[in-house]
Amino acid sequence: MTVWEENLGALEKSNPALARKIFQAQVPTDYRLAPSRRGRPYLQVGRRRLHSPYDPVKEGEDWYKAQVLGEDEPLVIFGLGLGYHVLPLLKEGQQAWVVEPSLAVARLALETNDLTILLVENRLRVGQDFSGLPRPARLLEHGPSRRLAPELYRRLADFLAGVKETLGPLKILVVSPLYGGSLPIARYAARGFKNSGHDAELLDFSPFYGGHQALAGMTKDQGRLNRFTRDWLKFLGEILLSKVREMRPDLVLCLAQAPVTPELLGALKSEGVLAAYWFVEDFQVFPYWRDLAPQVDVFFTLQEEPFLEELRKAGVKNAAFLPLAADPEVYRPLSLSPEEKRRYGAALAFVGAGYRNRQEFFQGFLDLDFKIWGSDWNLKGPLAAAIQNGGERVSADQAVKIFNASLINLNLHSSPFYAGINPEGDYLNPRVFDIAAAGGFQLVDRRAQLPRFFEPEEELGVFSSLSEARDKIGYFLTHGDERRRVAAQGRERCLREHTYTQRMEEALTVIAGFFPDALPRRPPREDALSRLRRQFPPDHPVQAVLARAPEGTTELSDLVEHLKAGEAPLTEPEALLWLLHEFGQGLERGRF
Amino acid sequence: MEILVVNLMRLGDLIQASAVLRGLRKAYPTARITLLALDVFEEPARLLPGVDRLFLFPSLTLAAALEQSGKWPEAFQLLCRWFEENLSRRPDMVVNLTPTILGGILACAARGRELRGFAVDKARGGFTSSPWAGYGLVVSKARQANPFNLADIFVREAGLKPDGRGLEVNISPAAQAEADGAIQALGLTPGRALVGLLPGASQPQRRWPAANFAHTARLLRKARPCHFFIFGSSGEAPLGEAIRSLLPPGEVTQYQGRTPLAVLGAYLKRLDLLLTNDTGPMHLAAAVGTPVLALFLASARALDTGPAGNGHIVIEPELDCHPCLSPCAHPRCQAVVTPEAVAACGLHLLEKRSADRLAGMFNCDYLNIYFSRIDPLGYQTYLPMVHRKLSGRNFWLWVHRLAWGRLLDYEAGSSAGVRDWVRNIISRHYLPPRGDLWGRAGRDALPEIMSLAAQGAAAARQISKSAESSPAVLSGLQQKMEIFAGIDLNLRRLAVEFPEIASLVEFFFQEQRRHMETQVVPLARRLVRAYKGLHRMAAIFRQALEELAWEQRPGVAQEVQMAIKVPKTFPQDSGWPHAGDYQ
Repeated sequence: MTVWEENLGALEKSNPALARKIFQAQVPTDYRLAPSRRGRPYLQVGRRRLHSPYDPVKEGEDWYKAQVLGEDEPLVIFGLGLGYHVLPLLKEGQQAWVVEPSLAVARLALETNDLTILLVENRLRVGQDFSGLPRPARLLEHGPSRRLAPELYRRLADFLAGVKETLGPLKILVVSPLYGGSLPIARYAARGFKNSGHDAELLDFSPFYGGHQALAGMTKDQGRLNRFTRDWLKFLGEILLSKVREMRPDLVLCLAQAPVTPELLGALKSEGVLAAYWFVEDFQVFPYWRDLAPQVDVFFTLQEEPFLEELRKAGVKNAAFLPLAADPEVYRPLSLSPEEKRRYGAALAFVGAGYRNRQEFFQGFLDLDFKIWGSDWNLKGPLAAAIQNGGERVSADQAVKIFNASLINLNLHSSPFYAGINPEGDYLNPRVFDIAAAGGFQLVDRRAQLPRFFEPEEELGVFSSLSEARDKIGYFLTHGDERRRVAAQGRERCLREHTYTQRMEEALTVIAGFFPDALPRRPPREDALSRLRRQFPPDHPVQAVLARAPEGTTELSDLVEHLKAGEAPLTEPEALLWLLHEFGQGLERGRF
Repeated sequence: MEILVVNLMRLGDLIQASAVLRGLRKAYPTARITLLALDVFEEPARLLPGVDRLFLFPSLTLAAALEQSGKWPEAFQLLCRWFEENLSRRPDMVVNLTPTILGGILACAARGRELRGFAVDKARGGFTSSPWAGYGLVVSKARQANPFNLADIFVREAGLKPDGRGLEVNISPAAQAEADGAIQALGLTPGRALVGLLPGASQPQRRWPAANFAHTARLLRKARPCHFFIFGSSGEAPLGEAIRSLLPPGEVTQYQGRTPLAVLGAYLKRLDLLLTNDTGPMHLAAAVGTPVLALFLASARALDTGPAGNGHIVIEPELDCHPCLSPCAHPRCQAVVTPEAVAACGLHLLEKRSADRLAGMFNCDYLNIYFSRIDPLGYQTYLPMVHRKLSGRNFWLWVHRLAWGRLLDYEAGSSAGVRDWVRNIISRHYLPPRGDLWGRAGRDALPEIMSLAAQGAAAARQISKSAESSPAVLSGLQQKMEIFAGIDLNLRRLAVEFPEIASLVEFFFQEQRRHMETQVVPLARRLVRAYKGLHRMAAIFRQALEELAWEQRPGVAQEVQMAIKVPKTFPQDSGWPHAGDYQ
């Protein structure tokens, strides 16, 4: 039996879920095992070595000797590495738990060293799982592991010290697709997280869209094109992985069509982050969810049953309904110039792509002052006279103007299966929320979910047939006050309940429900300058420097720019702030 | 007395500061000397003699804190704590050798009663304590003609005189025993030359190809029995493997990544020769007294950072693009340095031949090969072993040696001695020139600088006079200020157009940064002095040009021969001229 099999067997008995995770973990290509000078392997992650390349065993023993340990004190070691430092301690009979940030490292450790002494007792935790760790406990650190995951170390330290914190600012990476309807949703989602005070970043893949398009024209050989596309996806995946390693987010949220493969999602989880996916698509039209959903920790959908049941059948445990929303910073009431009102205004308008059902249905409005905006329309068909701007795509800026300028904004959900209205349609498209947030009046086809989000006829108009739509268009065109009242109420409801800020908070609540200990509890964020003030006594000279800082200063660079412009002689704290800034700049340039 | 020496640089720069520590120890025998170095370079810092106390700048801790976004207040707290623990006591003297803002701020914050080197001043400007410190800062902007080795610049910045004793490090008996034991265990036959190979370098373009190292080693072992040791970091192991695979197995030992710095020093000490790129261990070898054969490729320049001391050979390409500003895809400088030439130089050192005598069949069309020496004033110098016609570029190098010596050293009585020494070097180590040595830099640019300086001084004098007579009314001040701006623009243009005189212009600007007058009269008076100073500098350069004008001395041309594509013998040198020759 190999060491790997023995280790896995021991873990299987004490913690089968972790054993399975480690078994399935993929080891990224830059996690390299190499023989040390003394023979035993050492591990290098990227450019960082986790052990001595000379003699990792001795290094581990030295590490143990350097610890000053009290008697009967529960110990938690941050960082397993390959286990060289943990083994001497366990062999001396010390009771210790180990928290390893990375599944991939844990796997390599289990492949390399006999760790059964640790595993049979179920004393290994991986990633953000601190369940069952003793508290309070003495925390020992494996330096290289800490440098790879400093945030997790801090979180563990707080956990062990029993620091009570509320669900505070999280580090969240939102991954966008290269193009398409979910691209703006990714932007709005990232902003939604930020609005709630989280450290959210958008990994925006849209600049790569040109390259993606260019690939298709590079060869006529389908086999080669497939290979190029595979390599291209792999390349984009590398970017995502490196971003994750740099940022060390608590959560990665991928939007539908983001360039991620099941393998990449697996690799993401091996990095010890929670991976969530928001499938803002119709599951009956786009079946790729079957490959991706089982690979993520949480899978969000726009549809409920039977989709959720389908997901359960596919083995997805943590799936949840998460509807769309609006970003009121983009979709808002505008005062338009007369020229803009003329250009974008109409009695009836539609913004969206020319799906078949729309091409059919909209022929019923051609006798009205009707403008159609968006792409994929047949410019030579019966709707030609209504199609604006040559069927060009409509930007969000233009869309807001259209929603504001048009008396009635028509919304018909797309359907590949029905000629007009889909009588079984359930989920709501982005336009439902966007028009409402922009303060536009909306007439939308009846959808199963609609009454949960907006009150029909009070917050928007609803139709189930062409004739009903025409009746309501006629009514609301002649009842301007009523139209404006409904639009205002729709906007109010949208701002109250359906912004991306609220939606992303809902998403976090769902995730926290699935993984109660995974999302860190941090103290509410305090801006850097206030923290600095608190860290020094009131009579410390740095307080005078901070008192002179311009209002709103939070970055070191701004503070240093300000003090460099000063005319009074440079004080010691000023010099040290400048020194720190210079050092940071040097670090960014790779000077140290 | 408390002296704080600030050196926040890398391995090589630390070892090059050893002469400063020796000089301080000699000048202030009872002082407590504290060295402040980066924590990541603790190992070399601990090898330096003359250090009573070592402070380590906590770059690792600070970097770890700054890595986390928004955590700079915590990093600042760490920095304050470190500063309080280490630098709260005010030293009597701070010697800052670090030519960066970081070093400058630390030097300022340390509040030494006396400051030597570069510091940021209380008015937030870059302050240089002496003309030499100013020169140390500008030399990187005007590299083509710098005649001074960094180790000497450090010494002069520190207000000391070069003693010509090179660099030094302490190798502990334990480290030496470890290295000696390992070498002994190899069971090498007596008479075998121990040759170190160091194929790595901080930048890839500065690395001579590993195959060339191996080829050179094969040429050396053909000429005499050798055993080769490959040194470097574990990251450079592939280079070492490549070399090892091309040499007979019993004749090469690879130590990359296996030698702590002290042990590396101990190994280097036992070598008969180290063949290396421009690296930190090159200085370590020089410091333990091992003959070094060093290659200066791409942006590395032998005269700036060559190995200190007597008896080393340095090779650099004789190409217009060298030293380069940015790496290129197919560096010519790597190609023109041939294994045959390097092997000939290696053999020269192994067989301890006379300084000027370079034998062997190789092409040195595009090579400068220098032998390291100490000049009569104790400065490091490098003298050509390949004698070729004196070019304008080489001529200007010696003009700089003479002119800067006069400008910066003010050595009464030494000036004529240096002049005669330089003349002697030129006549003994170069063949008669081809074409114009002064160039437009000498004929046009220097007179133009003198004229601009005269204009500047006149305008400043006028401002000073009118401000003194009617301080309230400064009519035409704006116009006068525009004159200065115009002069500065012209000086900048000349520095760009004529690299030969760039350091002179940069030095003028650097010296201006030392002053922060805000009142008109003192400012104008200072400007008068500054422009006068610039005029004087240009005049000194012009005088140096005239004094070094090539003289066809009888017998000179016959004495030296070209060494191009030759199995030629260089004239026997009667030996290195002693300082006394020039008095």
